Amino acid sequence: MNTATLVAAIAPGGAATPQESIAAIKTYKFGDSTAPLRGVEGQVTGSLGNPEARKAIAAALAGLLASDATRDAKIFACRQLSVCGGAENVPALAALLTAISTSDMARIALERIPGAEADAALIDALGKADDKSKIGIVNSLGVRKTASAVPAIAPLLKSKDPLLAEAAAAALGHIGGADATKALKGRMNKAARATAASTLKEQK
Amino acid sequence: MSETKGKPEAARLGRRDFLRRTAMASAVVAAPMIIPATALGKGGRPAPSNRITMGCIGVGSQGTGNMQGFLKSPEAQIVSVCDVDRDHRDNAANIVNKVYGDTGCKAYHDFREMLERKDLDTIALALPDHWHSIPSIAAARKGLDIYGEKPLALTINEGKAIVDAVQSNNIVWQTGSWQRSQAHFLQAAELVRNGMIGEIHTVKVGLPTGRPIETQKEEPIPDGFDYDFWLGPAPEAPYTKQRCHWNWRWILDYSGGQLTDWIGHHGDIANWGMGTEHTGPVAVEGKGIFPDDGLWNAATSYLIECTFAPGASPVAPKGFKMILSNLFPMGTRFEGEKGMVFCDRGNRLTTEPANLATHQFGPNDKRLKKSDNHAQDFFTCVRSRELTVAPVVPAYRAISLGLLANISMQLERKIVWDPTAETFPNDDEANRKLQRAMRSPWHI
Repeated sequence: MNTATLVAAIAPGGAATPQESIAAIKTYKFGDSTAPLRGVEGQVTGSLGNPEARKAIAAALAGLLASDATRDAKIFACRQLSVCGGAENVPALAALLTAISTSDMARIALERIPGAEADAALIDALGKADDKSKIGIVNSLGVRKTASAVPAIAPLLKSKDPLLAEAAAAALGHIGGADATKALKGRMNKAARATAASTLKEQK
Repeated sequence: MSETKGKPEAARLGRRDFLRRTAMASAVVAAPMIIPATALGKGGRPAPSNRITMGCIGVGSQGTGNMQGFLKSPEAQIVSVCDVDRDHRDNAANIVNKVYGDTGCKAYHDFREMLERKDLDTIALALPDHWHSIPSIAAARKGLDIYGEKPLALTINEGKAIVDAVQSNNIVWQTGSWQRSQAHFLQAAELVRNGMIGEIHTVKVGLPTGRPIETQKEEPIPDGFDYDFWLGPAPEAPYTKQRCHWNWRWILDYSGGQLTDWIGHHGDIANWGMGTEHTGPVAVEGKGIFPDDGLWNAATSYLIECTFAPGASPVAPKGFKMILSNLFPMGTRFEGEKGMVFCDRGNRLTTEPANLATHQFGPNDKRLKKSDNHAQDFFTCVRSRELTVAPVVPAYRAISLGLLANISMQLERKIVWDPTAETFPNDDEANRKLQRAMRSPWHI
């Protein structure tokens, strides 16, 4: 299928199903026409407000993550799942969380998907990921203000990795609450102290 | 210039007091020659210890232009510049050292290293939007006053975090919304604020049209350009020239197109005139045309209607509409029940009735802060600890208009906004767009 045919197929009123549109972007690489991507974006936006349509396109995007699609296509899929993904798509994203090469792309979506399933996936990955991936995961839990993550994040304040310890302090500051505050007033890596003090100061 | 020793925050608080006291002393003894000339620097400049030191982060085209403006201030001393592009930082350091006639300005690759200097009073930021929040917050936490380029932030939540850090640390912030330091924009805002054209029903904000670019190929990263650092918190992406310097504005990973580039000027003036600098709309409905192919993906044409609630503005008791579009003439047009005020660059001020343009305000009129030199206003406020003419909260409320507009256009529907809670009530689809995941290890 050439680009023109594809664009015609996925244009508004076109006949392409989500599976067909997404199959067509499986080989996308930077430098190719972005028109097919914009077509999928349009389908994602169009699916919002229609739970069945949203689930269908999200499932197709999640399926692409486990396929032999290009890296650029998978990153695009994660971006779209940040808009339309739901709890049912969390396992496909969680599978990418612990590997340093894919952790950041998974968080593009997971950080935004509401609900306990995404929280649980991020907390679970903290025990499995390398330190650099952990930094990103901690950051996402902080942005999500996941209070249930405090017991998993607090020990990281003492990490020997200064970036991880500092990220833990920032995340606990975002989460707030009694448990996070208690942790921020406790012992920690020297690298985290300034951030801990600042976050406590900025808490409202 | 020697570096202050001791704990940075405590030292800087002491430094703030010193700058304030010397400003007061200068005011008292300005005319008589009580301060011996030998205590002053060359050319009538303040003594080195009494100059406001500055580090410039981001010295591309905009940052270098700003820096050259700061160099004209006799009371400022630029001690460092920072950029991830070697050519930019070397060029900037050379400019500074040539002006000062020495080699005292140090060039840094990493802003974190520069912020460890103990001799900094202020920083100036002119970075791509995706890099606004992290160094702003880091600098504020170190007690540094900030001159920051508009728009304030890439996302709503990053904007809120900047405001929190600035306010919690009592930072003096000046946004690069320099139109506020021009007399005709002030006149326009004061006419509106004083009810000279009656109750306002509509404000039209004219902004530029965007344009697309064809698909680009991956290119070799130029020698001396730390592209990974440039990407920073943004998602990984192959290097191509049209992604980076200047043109990042047209890509949604780094900015929001002409809309967010200019909302900090004409949208800011709209809020200034309406007195809505500390609040926002309750609903936004935008329609935009986005490129259907190519690298740049921000809206090129757009029409956005922002609804402000009754009472949000002191001059619109029944509420008003603020409309943002590239279809209007560039500038800000206030429409009231008794007349109209339009202002734009080039000293353009048009009013109905026409005589309002030269109206002289009296002592009982509502006056706004006057500044005729944007950089000098910043330095004056660094000493006085007063609010600048373009403080951080108005900057946040101005970019909020652009960010809300982009969210509405992307969702292709009207969005309801709570300007107090700063969230979308019962709207998970929109609330997802309040922030973006930052690439590890970056965070705020």
